[in-house]
Amino acid sequence: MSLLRATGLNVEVTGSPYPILREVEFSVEPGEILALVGESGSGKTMAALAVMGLLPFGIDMTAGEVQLEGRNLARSDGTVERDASQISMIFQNPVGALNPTMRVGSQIARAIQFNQQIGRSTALQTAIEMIGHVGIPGPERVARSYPHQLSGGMCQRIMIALAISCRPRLLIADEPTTALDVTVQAQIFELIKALVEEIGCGVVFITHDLGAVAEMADRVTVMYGGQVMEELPVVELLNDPKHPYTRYLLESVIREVDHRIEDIGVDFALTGCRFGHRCLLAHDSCNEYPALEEISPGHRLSCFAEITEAP
Amino acid sequence: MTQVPGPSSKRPADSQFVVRRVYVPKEQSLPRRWLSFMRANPLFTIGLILLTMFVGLAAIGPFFVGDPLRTNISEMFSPPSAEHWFGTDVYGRDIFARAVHAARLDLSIGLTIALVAMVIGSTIGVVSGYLGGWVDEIIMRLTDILLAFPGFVLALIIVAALDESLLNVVIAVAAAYVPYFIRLTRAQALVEREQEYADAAQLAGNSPIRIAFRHVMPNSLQPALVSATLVTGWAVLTVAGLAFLSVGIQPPQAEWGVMVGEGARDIITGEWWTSLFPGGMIVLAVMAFHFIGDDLTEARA
Amino acid sequence: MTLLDIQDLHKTFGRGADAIPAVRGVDLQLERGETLGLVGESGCGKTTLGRILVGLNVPTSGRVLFDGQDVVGRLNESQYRARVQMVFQHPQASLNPRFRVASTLSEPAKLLAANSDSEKISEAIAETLRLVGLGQEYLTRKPGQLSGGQQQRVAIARALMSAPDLIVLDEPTSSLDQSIRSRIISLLKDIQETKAVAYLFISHDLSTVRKIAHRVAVMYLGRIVEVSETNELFDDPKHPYTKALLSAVPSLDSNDRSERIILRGETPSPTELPVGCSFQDRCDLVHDRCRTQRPELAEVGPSHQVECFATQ
Repeated sequence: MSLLRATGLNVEVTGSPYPILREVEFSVEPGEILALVGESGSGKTMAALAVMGLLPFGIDMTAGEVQLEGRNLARSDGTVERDASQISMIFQNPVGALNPTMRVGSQIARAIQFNQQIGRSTALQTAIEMIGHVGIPGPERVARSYPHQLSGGMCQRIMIALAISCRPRLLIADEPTTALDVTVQAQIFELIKALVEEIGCGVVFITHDLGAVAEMADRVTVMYGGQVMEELPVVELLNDPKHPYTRYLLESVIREVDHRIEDIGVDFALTGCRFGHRCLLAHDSCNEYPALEEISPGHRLSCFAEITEAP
Repeated sequence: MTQVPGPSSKRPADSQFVVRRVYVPKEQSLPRRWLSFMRANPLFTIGLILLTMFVGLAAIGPFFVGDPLRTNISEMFSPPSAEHWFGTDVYGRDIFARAVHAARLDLSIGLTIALVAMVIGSTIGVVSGYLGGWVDEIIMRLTDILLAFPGFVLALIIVAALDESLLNVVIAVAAAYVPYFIRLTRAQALVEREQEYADAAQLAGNSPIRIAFRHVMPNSLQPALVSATLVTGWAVLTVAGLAFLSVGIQPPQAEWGVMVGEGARDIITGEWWTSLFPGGMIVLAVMAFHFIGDDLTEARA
Repeated sequence: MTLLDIQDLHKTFGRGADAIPAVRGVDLQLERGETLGLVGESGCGKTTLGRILVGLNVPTSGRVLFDGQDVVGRLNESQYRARVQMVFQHPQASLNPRFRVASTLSEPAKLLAANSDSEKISEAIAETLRLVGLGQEYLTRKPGQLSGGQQQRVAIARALMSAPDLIVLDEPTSSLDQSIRSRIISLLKDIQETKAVAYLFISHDLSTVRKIAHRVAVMYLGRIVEVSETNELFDDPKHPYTKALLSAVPSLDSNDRSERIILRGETPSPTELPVGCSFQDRCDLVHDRCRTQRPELAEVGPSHQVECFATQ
């Protein structure tokens, strides 16, 4: 049984005719890092928020199932039960995601107390331990600091400490290092990988950076325009992806192959494949919506074309 | 799945891919959309209705009602009736006619004042915010001094210093609200001047003055434009308040504040209609501007 | 003659105890038609340096020689303003939201060009638009109607309108989607070939810099710690910080699992710099001399300079 299984997610802006997420599905196993990759507007953050039950006001999940270890979290009114003790999330802007009026040690202690019946001083002690555990020197002093007194990298570690303080089964990381320097990013990557080994949690790693994907992920789900394009192991992604969009992405990043695909925005009103209006291999079948089909073990594809050559 | 021949970056020459879009608006007739808007924004709707009424009254009313200055002692102090909707005052003048003419006067004065204050205040505010330094300091301290006085008191002082004419009333009340606009646009100008497009404008060869007026100013006016509705309401209230005290606009001019001033003493003798109707119109008009202005300010935020 | 010669440039913000030294003695040269990559992480001073070069900030001390003339404080004069231009990091913010593309592009032409014949200006605008790969229909659009990549193209067109000798590009592709980045980089390279314009390409993204720069300078805490020809820097970095920076960049090659160098600690605050080499607390090769003396840039190979005692 998968740790997390999200299927058939459809998310719409209230009152709008077309969905911003369409039939999105992905799954994570315990101890596995799944990368959710896409450019801006791909819906990757929306998908994570939907799973967490954190969709903003005015955006609803109109269909879909979210199962955590087999237990269904999705409710009939289109909301998701937020299981705080099992799923944790870290965000892109570390300083902004922490409460600016509380010392960071207290914030972590509060989170611990929310899930366990322990006293305040014990929680604070545990919080200090966690801060040291995520590689911050001088944890007692840092615990007494406010977020604005700490650097971006330190705040992100604090967020990670906060997230793992309840030993979650699943960690969702939304672009955790986008706002950080590359040397700090390397430190955070090492930290997350170490924690996965230690706790055995699953990770949904949301990013637009293919380099980060190559570093961190075991499996990858590629999204574009609110639709899942392809789902495959990371080795296959880097060597021989099958979806035109994935190949386009890879080739733009690795080589300077200019495919002359226009950089126009996503058109949410398309009936068929959301990449259709930019795809060089598009043909009439593409006006139908391509369902995700398994083309080889662990590799699913949403596309009517069949690419026979290696990139 | 279809086989697509050829290298991965070429589309088959004979394929004519026509992208199909489905636009499915959840069709709602226009009236129904208006209804849901009104239900969602009740105060704004009330304000809009009132304002439309007043504007209509001010624009075409004076053509249909009688002479606001015509006196008829024989009919003095008649209560509201079919002939005189709002009754008559101590000189037998039809209060409704006077109120309608006053609407035109008050609304146009209010609007003029708001616009004058906005234009002057915004210019000073942008210059102050953009230049910074000691210019900004001096302007801000002067603004602070002016803001220390309640708007009404400031207007009172200025009108008292100048002689009493309609123009001077406009000047005085506008002057009372100029500091407000200075503050508003200066705040926005401070933000806009840090934007990259302001730097880019400098690199394109613009002198600082050009950058301030061609680039920063148009982008700094948003909050001021939105506040103009609120200020119109306040201006109407201030002018009426001054007139009530016989400052600025004087009797026998038909103006809401003048009418309330004239009619206030009649309450004791039981003639409630001489002050209630003009007073009520002031309240409704200012309320209308407030409801609209408040919602606009919130929408902007 | 060298197009750009920066000599001992210093820039400190604020005064007294709150002073922040952003640039602490930079020497750098740039030739005509060349691209120099300037890399470093946040707080290293690269953006400040770029802004000084285009005249948006004034240095505290030092000289900036442009074609042999010291232009410090004089970049707003008409003779220089046209020759040095900039492309900013956030394309949306760098375009006036109320201006149509035609207005944005005509400004530098009208204000900086020698002749202001309106027909010639229209021609110049049309030609530059073609050069950046946009059709004439974009002239009437406003920034809000353009995608990020298109906005940046307009910004590049604007920089080109005055026929500059040098364009400073401050993280020009960092806020664009990954698939768009390579197109913009190709565009910039084509333009350089056509117009022989020099670029100072400021970025924290090493992989992007590698694709466009002829030479690369690495900045750390306000100083250049290493400068070299591009391939040599990536193949044989000498400064410990450069090595760590390069190794931190995630690699897309699934076969490349070389040992990653993880730096200790974080970049110190510029207001609390230690005596001697500012890298001492994070460096694996540190020894006593590093804690007392500050190293200077020295040659370690043809056109390869490093500021580190361990390499000298």
